[in-house]
Amino acid sequence: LTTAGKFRVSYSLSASSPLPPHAPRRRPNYIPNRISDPNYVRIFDTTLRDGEQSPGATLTSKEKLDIARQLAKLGVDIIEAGFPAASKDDFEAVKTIAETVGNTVDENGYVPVICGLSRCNKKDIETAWEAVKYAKRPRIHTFIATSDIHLKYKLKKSKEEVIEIARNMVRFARSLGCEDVEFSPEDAGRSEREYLYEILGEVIKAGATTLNIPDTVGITLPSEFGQLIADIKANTPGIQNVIISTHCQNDLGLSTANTLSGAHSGARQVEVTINGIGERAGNASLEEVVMAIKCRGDHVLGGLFTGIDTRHIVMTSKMVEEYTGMQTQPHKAIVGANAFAHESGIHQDGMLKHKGTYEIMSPEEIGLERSNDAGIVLGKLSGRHALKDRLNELGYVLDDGQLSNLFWRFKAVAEQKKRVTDADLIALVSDEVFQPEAVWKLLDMQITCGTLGLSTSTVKLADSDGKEHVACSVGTGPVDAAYKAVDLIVKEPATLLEYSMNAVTEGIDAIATTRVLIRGDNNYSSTNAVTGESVERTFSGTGAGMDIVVSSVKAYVGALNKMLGFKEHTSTLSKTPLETNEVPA
Amino acid sequence: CSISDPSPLPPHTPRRPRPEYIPNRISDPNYVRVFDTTLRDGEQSPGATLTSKEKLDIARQLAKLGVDIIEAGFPAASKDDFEAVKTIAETVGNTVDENGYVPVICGLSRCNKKDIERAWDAVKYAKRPRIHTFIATSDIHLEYKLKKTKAEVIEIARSMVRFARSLGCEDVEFSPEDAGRSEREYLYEILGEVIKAGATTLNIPDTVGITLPSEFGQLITDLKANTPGIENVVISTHCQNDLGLSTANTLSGAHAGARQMEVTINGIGERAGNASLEEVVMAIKCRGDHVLGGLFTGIDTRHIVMTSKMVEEYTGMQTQPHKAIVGANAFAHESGIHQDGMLKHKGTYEIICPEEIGLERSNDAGIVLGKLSGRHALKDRLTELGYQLDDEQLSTIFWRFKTVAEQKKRVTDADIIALVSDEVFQPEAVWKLLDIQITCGTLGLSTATVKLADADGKEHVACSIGTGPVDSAYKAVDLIVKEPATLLEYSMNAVTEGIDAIATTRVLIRGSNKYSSTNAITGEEVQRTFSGTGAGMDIVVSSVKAYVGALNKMMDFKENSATKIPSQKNRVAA
Repeated sequence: LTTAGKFRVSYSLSASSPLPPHAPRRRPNYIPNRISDPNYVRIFDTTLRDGEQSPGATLTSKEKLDIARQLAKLGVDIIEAGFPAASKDDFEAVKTIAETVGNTVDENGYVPVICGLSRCNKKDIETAWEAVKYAKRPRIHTFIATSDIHLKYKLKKSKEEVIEIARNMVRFARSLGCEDVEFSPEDAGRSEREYLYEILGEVIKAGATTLNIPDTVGITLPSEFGQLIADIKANTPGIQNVIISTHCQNDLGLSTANTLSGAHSGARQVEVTINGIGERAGNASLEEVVMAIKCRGDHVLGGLFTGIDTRHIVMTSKMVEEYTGMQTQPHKAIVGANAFAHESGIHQDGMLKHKGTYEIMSPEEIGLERSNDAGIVLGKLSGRHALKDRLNELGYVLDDGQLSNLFWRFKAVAEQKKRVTDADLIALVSDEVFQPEAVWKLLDMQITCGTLGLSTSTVKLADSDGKEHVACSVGTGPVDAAYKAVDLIVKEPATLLEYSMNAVTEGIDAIATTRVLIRGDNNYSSTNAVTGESVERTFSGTGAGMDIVVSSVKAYVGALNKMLGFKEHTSTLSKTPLETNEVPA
Repeated sequence: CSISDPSPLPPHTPRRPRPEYIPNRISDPNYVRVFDTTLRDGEQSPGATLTSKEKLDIARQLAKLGVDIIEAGFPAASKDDFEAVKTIAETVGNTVDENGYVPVICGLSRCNKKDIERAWDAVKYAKRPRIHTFIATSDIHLEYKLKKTKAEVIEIARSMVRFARSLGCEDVEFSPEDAGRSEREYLYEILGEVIKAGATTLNIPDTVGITLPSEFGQLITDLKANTPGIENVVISTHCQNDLGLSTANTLSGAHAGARQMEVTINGIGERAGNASLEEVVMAIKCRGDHVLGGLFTGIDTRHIVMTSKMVEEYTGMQTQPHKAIVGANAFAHESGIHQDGMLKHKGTYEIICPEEIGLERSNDAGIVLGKLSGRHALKDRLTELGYQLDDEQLSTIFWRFKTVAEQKKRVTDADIIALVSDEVFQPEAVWKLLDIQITCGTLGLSTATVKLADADGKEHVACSIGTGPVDSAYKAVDLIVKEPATLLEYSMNAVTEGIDAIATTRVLIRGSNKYSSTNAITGEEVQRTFSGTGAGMDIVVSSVKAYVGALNKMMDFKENSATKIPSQKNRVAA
C-alpha cells in the first residue's frame, strides 16, 4: 500500500516534450485464435460498421477507404469494414478495403485483418466472404442473439434451435475457406450463463477463432461485465483455444470502464469506435480505451498493452467527425476541444509550471500540438512552399492539384485575415479534400436578407460538363432562399434534416464551417445488421468560408453531390429481398 | 427497470423516502447523496460563464431534481460570484417543499481564512449552509503547487476546518485535492485530523481523472478501513473524466462505501469534465438494487432532460448527439422500428424509458400546433413541456409563435422550445435589435445596415462592410455599442427537420481585462467569456441576436463588477 501511494505518472513526468518517436512494444505475429504475448490486447475497430449505424453517419465508399487507411496508420489490428449484405454499395466498400488496405503490409509485417459482419445465415456469410476474401487476413464475423428477451421477441426460436443455427453457420463460414471466424452472442450481458457457456462451447468446436461478448444495450456495470468475462473463461469448453473479445455499448456512460474491466478479466480483443460513435449512445471509444491502457496498463491492468500508434488519434478523430457529421462535445475525454484547454491560462512562475500537476498525458502523445507551440504563422506573404511545409506538419499529404487549389484559396483568405492559423488551414483542407466527387459546383451567388422582408437569392451552379445554370428564389431566410434556388437547378428531391455551423478560429473574421444533413427519397436504403430493418440513408455535407451563407450553400451542394454519387452506384442495384433468419430444413 | 413497467410510467414515486438531512451521517445506509457542482466546477469550463440569473435558474432546476447539495460557486472568485451564491442561499436555500426537502447550499473555499469567511458570508442565509474547503495532498501538488511540507499542510487543513466551524457553520466538507495520487498513510492522517477538527463530509477527488474504477473503489474502501473517526463522517467522490471513466469511478466509489457523489449536469467541467449527474443517477436507478447492494438516490429523474437543456443553453457547452442518457441519438433508433412482432417490445434494445428522464418520444408528441392555434393551446403545450412563463413572456412568445406559424407548415415542440429559449433564456436587455438588412454572396464584400434600440428606447443606426454577412453585421453593431469584444466561438444549428427550420445561433465573446475571476483550483485570474444565443429562420438575423445577447450579458456583468475586489493570494497569514 505504501508503495502504491508513491506511484507517479511516468509518461508525462519523465519524458520531456516533444516525446521521442513512437516506440511500441513488439506486436505479436497474428494468429487468429491465439496471441503469443499474454498481455497484448487486440484492437478491433468497428467505426465503419457499428459507427456508421448512428443516425446521419452515412459514409461514401471513398470516405470509408480513407478512414480504413487512417485506422491502419493507427495500427488497428482488425478493421470491421462493414456489413456487406446491407447493400451493394456496402459490399463494394468492404471489398475495396480488403483489396487495398487489407493487402498493404508495412515494414514490420503488420497488415490489418479485414472483417465483414453477417447475420447467422448462409446468404450473409457468403456475401461477407466474397467481400473480405481478397485481404491477406480476412475474417467473417457472425452473430445471433442469446438473451431470453431477444429469443422471445426478436428471433422467436428456442434455445436449441439457436445453438444449431450458430454451430452450422460457423462451420459453414469455415467451409468457405475462411480461417478466421468471429462469433458474437448478441446481448450476452443479459443471457443465461449456462446457456451462454453451451453455445460458445459449440461454436468453438465448429471452428470459431474469436468470441465476442457484447453488452448490447449497455446495461452492465464494470464489475459484472468483468465477472462475465472471467466466468466465460472459467466455464466454456475449449475457451483456451480462442480469443475473447468485448463489445460495450455506452447507454449508461460505462463503455470504456466495461471494456477495461473485460480486458483485465482476460479478454484480449476489444471492439471500439473512433469518438465512441455508434447506435444510440454509441460504443467504447478507441481513444479512451487505448489511452487508459497506455497510461495505466502497466500499473493497474497487469501489464496490458496495445499496438496502437497514439500519435494518429487526433487526426483520425477529426476525420471521422468530419465524414460522419457526428460532432464531439468540447469536454469529450481525450479528443474534445477542452481536453487540454486549461494550459493556455497558466503563467505564474513556479506554480503549475510542471504539466504533470494537472495532466496525465501529453497532447503530443495523441497528435495534438499546443496552440502556443504552433510554430510559424502564415500570412499573405507566405508562398506555396511554406504552405506545403505547414500542411505536412499538420499531417496532410495532398496531391499537386489539391495543393494548387488550396494555395489560391489560402491566398484569398490571407488577403482578408491578419494571420492564418492552423485551424484555418484545417478548415480549408477539409473543404478541399474531404469533399465528394463534384457533380455540381457553386460558381456565384447573391443574397439579400434581413428583418425587412423575405430573403431573396440568386445562385449560379456549374454541372459536371461545366455548363452554367442560374436560378433565383425567395425564402424565409437566406439559407432557405439559397437552398430553394439550388433545388430549382439540381431537381433532386431532398429533405434537410440537420443544419449546424461553427467558426473554428478565434476572431470575428473566422472561417465558418457549415455542416448539413439531408435525406433523399426511398432509393437510398440499406439493411441494419442488428435489427434487420431497412434504413434510409442520410448524407452530410460541409462547406467552409467567411460568408456563412456561401458556406451553407457549399455544404448543401456537397451533400447533394454525395447523394448523387450514391445514386450512380445504386442505379444498377437489384435489391435482394430481405433474408429471413431461417436455415433451410 | 423499464422492462417490467408499461409505458407511460406512473407519476414519480421514489422507491424509498429521502432520509432526514444530518450533515455527518445518513440514517439509511443505502441512500447516496447527490452533490451537484455544475455552478462551480461546471462553470470552470472554458466559455461556460453564467450570469447570476442563470445560476439562480439552474439552482432552482437542481432543486426540482431533488439534488441534496448544490455547490453554488466559489464566493471568493469575484464579487459577482459571491452575490450569486448569496442569492441562491437566500432563495433556493430557504425553499422547503411539502416533504421537508430543501437543498444544502455549499460554497467552495481554498484553505485560508479569507476564502472561508467569504464562503460563510455567502451561504449562511440558507437553512442548510455548508462550507467546502480543500488543499492538495499529493506529492506532485505539494512540490509544484503549494511548496509546503506534509506537516505544514496538515496544520493548515486542521486549523481551517476548525475555523470554519468556529464561524457557526455546522456542515464542513473537506477535500484533499488529488487524493487519487496521494500517499495513502498521509491521506489517512490528514483526513483523521480534519475529522477531529469538525469536518462532516470528506470528499475524495480524482483530480486528474487518472484512476481506474477498481483502484478508486479500493481507495474508498481503504479510507473507510484506515481513517480514524471515519464512521462519524460521510465519504464523497469527485471524479474527473480525462479517461472517460468518471461515471464508472463514481459508481465504484459508491459501491465501496461513499455516500455522497459530486457530479455536474452533462458532465461539464474543467478539461474533460466530471461525472455526469444523469449517467450516475440513471445507473443507480437501473442497477442499484441488483448490482450495487440496494443503493438509491433522491433524484426525481423526470427533470433530467429539462435540466440538461437548460445547462447546455446557458453554458454554451453543447452535448454530442451520442451522449449517454441525454444525447439526441440516445433513443433515436425507435423511430425506425415497425415490423410486427419483431422488436415491438422496447426492452429488447432499451433499458431506460425516455419518459423516466422527461423526454417524450417524437411519435408521442401529442397535438401539433399550427397557425390556427390560439393562446390557450400554446400555453397548455408550454406547460406540458415544463415551462412556467409569466403573462408578459407568454404574450411575447404568442406573437412570435404566430409569426412562425404563418410561415411554417407545422410548429413542433422543438420549434416552441427554440422560441422559449430565445425569449426566456436571455439576459436583461441593454440593447435590442430592431431591424437589419444584409447583402452578401460571392460577388463582393458583404454589407449590413443595423438598427438597435438602447435601454431608453432610442434608435441607433449604423452600417458596415465585412468579409461575410455576420462579419459586417457584427461590425455595424460594434459601431453602435462601442464595447471592445473579441468573438471566440460561433456555432449554429437548426433544431427541427426541414429547410424552414428555426436556426439557433450561439456565440462566445470575450471583453477586455476588466472581466475576470479567480479559478479555485489554480488560483489564476481567468478572463470571463460570455455566450449569447438567438433563434430565427434567417440565420444572419439569429446571429446578430446572439451577438447582441452576448454583449448584453457582458455589460450586465460590467455593472455588477464595477467594485472589483483584488485577487487573494493563496497564502495563510502568519
